[in-house]
Amino acid sequence: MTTVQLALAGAQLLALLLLPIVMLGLVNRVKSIWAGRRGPRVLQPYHDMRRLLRKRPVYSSVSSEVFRLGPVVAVATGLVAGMLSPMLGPDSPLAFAGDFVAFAYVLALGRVFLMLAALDVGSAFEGMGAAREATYGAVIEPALFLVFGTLLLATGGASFAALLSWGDLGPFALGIKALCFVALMILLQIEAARIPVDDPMTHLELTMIHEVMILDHSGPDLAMLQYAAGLKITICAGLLATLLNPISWAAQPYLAAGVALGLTLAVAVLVGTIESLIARLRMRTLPAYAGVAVLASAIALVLVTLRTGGSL
Amino acid sequence: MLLFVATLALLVGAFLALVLRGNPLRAGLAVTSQVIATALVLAEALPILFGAPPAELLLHWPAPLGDVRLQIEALDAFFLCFSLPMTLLGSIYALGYLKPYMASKRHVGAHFSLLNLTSLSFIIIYTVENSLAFLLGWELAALAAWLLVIWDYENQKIRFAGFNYLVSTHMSFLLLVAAFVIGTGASQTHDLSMMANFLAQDTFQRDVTFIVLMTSFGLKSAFFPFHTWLPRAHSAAPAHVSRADVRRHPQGRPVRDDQVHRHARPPARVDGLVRRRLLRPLRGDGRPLHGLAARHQAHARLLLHRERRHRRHRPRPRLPRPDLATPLLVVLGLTGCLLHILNHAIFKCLLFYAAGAIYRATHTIDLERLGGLRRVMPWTALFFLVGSLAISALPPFNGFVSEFIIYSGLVSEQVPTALDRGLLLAVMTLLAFVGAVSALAITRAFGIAFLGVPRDPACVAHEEAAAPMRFTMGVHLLGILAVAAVPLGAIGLARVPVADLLRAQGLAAPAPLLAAPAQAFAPVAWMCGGLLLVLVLVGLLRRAINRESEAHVTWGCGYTAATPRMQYTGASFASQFGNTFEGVLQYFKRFKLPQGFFPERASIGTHNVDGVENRMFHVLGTAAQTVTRLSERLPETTPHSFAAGFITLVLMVAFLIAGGSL
Repeated sequence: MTTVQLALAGAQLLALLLLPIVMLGLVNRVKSIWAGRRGPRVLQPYHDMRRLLRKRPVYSSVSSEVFRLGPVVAVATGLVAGMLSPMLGPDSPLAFAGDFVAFAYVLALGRVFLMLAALDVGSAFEGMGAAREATYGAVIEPALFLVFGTLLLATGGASFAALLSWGDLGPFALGIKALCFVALMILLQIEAARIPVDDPMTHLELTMIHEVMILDHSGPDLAMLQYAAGLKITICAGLLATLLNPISWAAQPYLAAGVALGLTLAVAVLVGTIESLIARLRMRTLPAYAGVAVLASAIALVLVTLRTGGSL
Repeated sequence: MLLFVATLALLVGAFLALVLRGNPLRAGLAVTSQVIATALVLAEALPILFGAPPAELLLHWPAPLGDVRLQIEALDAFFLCFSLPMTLLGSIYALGYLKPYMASKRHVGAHFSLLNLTSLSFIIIYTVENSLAFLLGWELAALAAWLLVIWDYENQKIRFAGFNYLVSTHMSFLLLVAAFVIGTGASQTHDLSMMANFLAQDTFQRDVTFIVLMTSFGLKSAFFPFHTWLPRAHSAAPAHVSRADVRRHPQGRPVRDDQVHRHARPPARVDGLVRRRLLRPLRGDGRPLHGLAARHQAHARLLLHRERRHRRHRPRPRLPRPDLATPLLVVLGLTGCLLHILNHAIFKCLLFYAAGAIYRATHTIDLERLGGLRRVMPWTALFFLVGSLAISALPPFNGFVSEFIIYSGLVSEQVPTALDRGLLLAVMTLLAFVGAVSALAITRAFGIAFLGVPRDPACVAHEEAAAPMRFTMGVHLLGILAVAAVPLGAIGLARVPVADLLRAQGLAAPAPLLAAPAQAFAPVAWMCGGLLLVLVLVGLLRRAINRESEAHVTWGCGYTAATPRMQYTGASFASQFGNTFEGVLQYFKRFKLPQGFFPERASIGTHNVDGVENRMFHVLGTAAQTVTRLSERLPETTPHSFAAGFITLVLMVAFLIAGGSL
């Protein structure tokens, strides 16, 4: 491993630890600005989490160790998934061939424990959230793999790094990237429970997805879950930033990493903007919305297959 | 040969279990005979699995069997090494599961005798080279399984489920007979190895034989869409009869036996279908990969497609050389597949055992009546949870190890053509979707049954599973953890069988090629270790900031649940997914709406039926109506009827002649 790779891996680890807080704060700040308010500071989530960490947790008398394990697994899987994804360079700290498969399955492990924690308290509300999470998670999973498949086929690689090595900026490549961007953006909105899929600020249990699952979590556990949600939005935004990054990693690694970081923050601004301008979708239309991601990525895969095969 | 002694031990054990008096003695002797047989089989098979020369023996039997050759090669050894031990574990589990009957007048020895015969059928199927002897072993396995399924034969629905299975398994048997008839006719021998010449020829007849074999294996091991007998025989049938057949055991608690088949299920049925002597000779087109596992079939089909394309079109210059790509893909696919069969046997059996333990404790299989079982059955909860995570292929458990190797083949850059690569990537997406649906299903099952609080006071568990049941489940848990902890060692188990298969196809099996799966997984093993480390670190961090906690009722949005039945239900959990895919999944509801101002009774029942079975009968019904309509159009006058009959006869004869010329 070269010095540059080591430095970028270290920077990615640092970014993973800090960015979740900044990303959440930035989204909220952008939403405030769109609403004509000054809004909370960008680091407000940090203060919120710190406050929660000092609080005494309240556990349901029905809950078990599974409930306490949920936040721990959610944070741990988020961190490992983040270290698998190439946020600040082609060589993420845990890069290997087929690492994107491991990435998806590690995230799935966290999702399963979160759902189990929701079911552990025996509440109808939290079970409802778990069911929604399971359904939308299953529906969006193919989109993620189709995007990876498209980029792998386009670049000829077999790992996450293949996402980065496609330096083609021709019209066809840009079109494919646009389709992948749409799919990954919807993935972000579903995975990180953002508008128009879910509203983290809603107070109506019946309309919640992610928030209703964690109704019974409090104190440090709630802080960990909020951090895990920030991790998810950071990871997904990092993927989008990597996809859009025009700077060559081989020629200018530090500049490329800086641009990737900037683009990641820009995605947070975009998320905040979308949340300010678009109303939340009705629950029954969400599978169709996830279907848009699957369709976009499937079209991309078909186009790349035809192009690579010489038929297009 | 040690196998003979093992066979003898199983037969003696089965006999003694039938004739001796006293259920504990019968069961004990049967299990002892299985211990002896398993030890002998392992002594014979383990060295071969690790590279010793194959064992072979020729038996001279009178007609119609003739000479029967027995052979244990590496692949046979692979399956023998876990099929018999797992059947033995199933028998130990049965000691606990059938405990209420041990002191009763019911002859439990028959049950254990059938388990011995199941083990015997495994030995026959894995070792004989004679097609007739193979069919005998096949039939023995089918009948033993059927008799185990209908253990509680007094229940009509159990009998129906059993006969459903019997019909399917014999359809499979007949197709197998048909394939052997074609093969024997072409090769003029009953020896499976000698059918190689016929199967090596690229003819239409060979292709038909292949399809017949695949259909037969699909019916037997319930590959989609031939799975229709499985839900009824393994889970749906008991669910349907959960309220119908309730008996009382000496303690006065209701007992039902319809779940006995759960532990009686041959743990590695699918492995019995793998007779590479039938498939191996199909040289050069990747078909030996077929039949090993449902997922792997898709991969293999695409390989076959690619091979055909290569025969028709020259490979494009920019693509990798196919002669290098094919062996690597075959090695990755076969290794992943073999390991997944082993893993599947481990975690699937564990889940069946845990489900049996739930039934034994609560006397119901209705998920909606369960809840909160983890309090009384913590060990069973742990076993079920780990089995669930493993079957969903979640890291770091054993299912993830084998699935990742399969994925490695699917995403390999050495797939020669872009179209094939695109198709493999689409297959990969499908597998990912299946994995996500598995996660949904296991979350639902574990969450509803073990978490929360009991939903029905009549179905509350009072004690943990019996010691033999816990022992069996514990061994399976250790199996899952062993593969997860030493994944490269587990991958190594498939090394010699895969090398054999490659050589049988005329491909070289150099050490670097065989090491490819382990190399592919090595960094993943580090990642899994890293995941565990991060989990521990985050857990310790959480512990370090631990505050004194307070207990309170569950959040109820201002209205705490009045009864435990107000918890989320399994049907509701699945309904969102079911509604999303309502075109595929068939969802039935039954209502009894409240009547009047003060209704006394109202109910709602929901059920997802098997869409394939439903549509199959729908198609049959439509066909019958179509034939009826067509026949009604025929004039009833004699000349017209005669003409229609004559044309049908001519067509049938034409088909027969055409068939004979193939």
